[in-house]
Amino acid sequence: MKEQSPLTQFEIKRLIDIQLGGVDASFTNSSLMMIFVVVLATMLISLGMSKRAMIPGRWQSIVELTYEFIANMIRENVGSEGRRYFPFIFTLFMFILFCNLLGLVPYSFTVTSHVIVTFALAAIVFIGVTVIALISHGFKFFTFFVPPGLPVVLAPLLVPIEVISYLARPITLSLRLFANMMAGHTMLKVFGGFVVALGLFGFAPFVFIIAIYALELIVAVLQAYVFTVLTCLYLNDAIHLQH
Amino acid sequence: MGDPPERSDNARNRDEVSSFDDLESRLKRARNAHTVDPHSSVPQSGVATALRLAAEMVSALLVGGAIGWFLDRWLDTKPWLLLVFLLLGAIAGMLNAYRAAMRLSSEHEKNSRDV
Repeated sequence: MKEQSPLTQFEIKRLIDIQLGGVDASFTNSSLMMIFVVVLATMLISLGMSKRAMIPGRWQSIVELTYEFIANMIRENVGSEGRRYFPFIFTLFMFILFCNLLGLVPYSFTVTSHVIVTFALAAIVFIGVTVIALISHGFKFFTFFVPPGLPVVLAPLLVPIEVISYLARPITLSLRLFANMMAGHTMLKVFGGFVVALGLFGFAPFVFIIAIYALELIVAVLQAYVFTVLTCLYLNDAIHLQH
Repeated sequence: MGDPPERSDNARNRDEVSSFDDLESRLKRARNAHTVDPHSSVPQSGVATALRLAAEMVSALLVGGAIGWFLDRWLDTKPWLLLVFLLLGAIAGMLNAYRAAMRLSSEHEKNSRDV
């Protein structure tokens, strides 16, 4: 039995080498997993809704419940102005949810355990939200960084703090998803190693793995939810210009 | 002779009306359940809250440090701006953590009041 580091599961492997003008754009196991995620999510929704039954079956129920879940989330956190952004937020939620859940399938690869992937998602949200705020409020957007009732003397101190706390948003967003996924998967692998190393007594960590696995399922769904809810809150800030 | 069918008709009518009423009230209850805050459906564990607040603090510190480092490199003022912006980042991190905690506690209050 070859000893394996619990971190080898995060290794990126090149499947097809592609070089685009000096930029490494190879097709990796990560890309394969992302395509798999997109295909599966699209299939679930289009096949689930293909019957369009008045009384939904199991698959249609899943799709409708997810739809209503996100629609409610947007209504509660953003208001009716947020309905325009429903397609984006729904896609974001489904993508992260499927990445997290499919990453829990043995021998698969967890895309969201790489900080660059979660940061790319967070950066899209951050840039999009900032552009929306700039378009809908123009220069008034910059009053967002000046707390109401601020004495002029304190402005040079407090405005940079507000700017930094605004810029920290994409980092927080990406860090949380990435840290949760990576920590959980590393823990699973470490305990998996214990099962092998302890031989007959391996049943104790094995039972523990089942418990952690259940916890990881919750974390996978919860983190997708948290990511989307925070996107909604940021969108709300952008549309209504308030903390 | 014509009595029993009439009675059963009435009974069926009454039944339908009552089940319709029932449906209405059930619909109302379902709608009310939907308007409750979605946060209440997802319980936040202590670890999740702690991780969230920690991420909030660390990320602002990182951003502050990065801004300071790049400004230092650009303006050749090592190490002063890095120090200043690290401090500002720490404050911003605490501010973010405070805001997140306040939001969490107000949600918690709202939920416990609903129950």
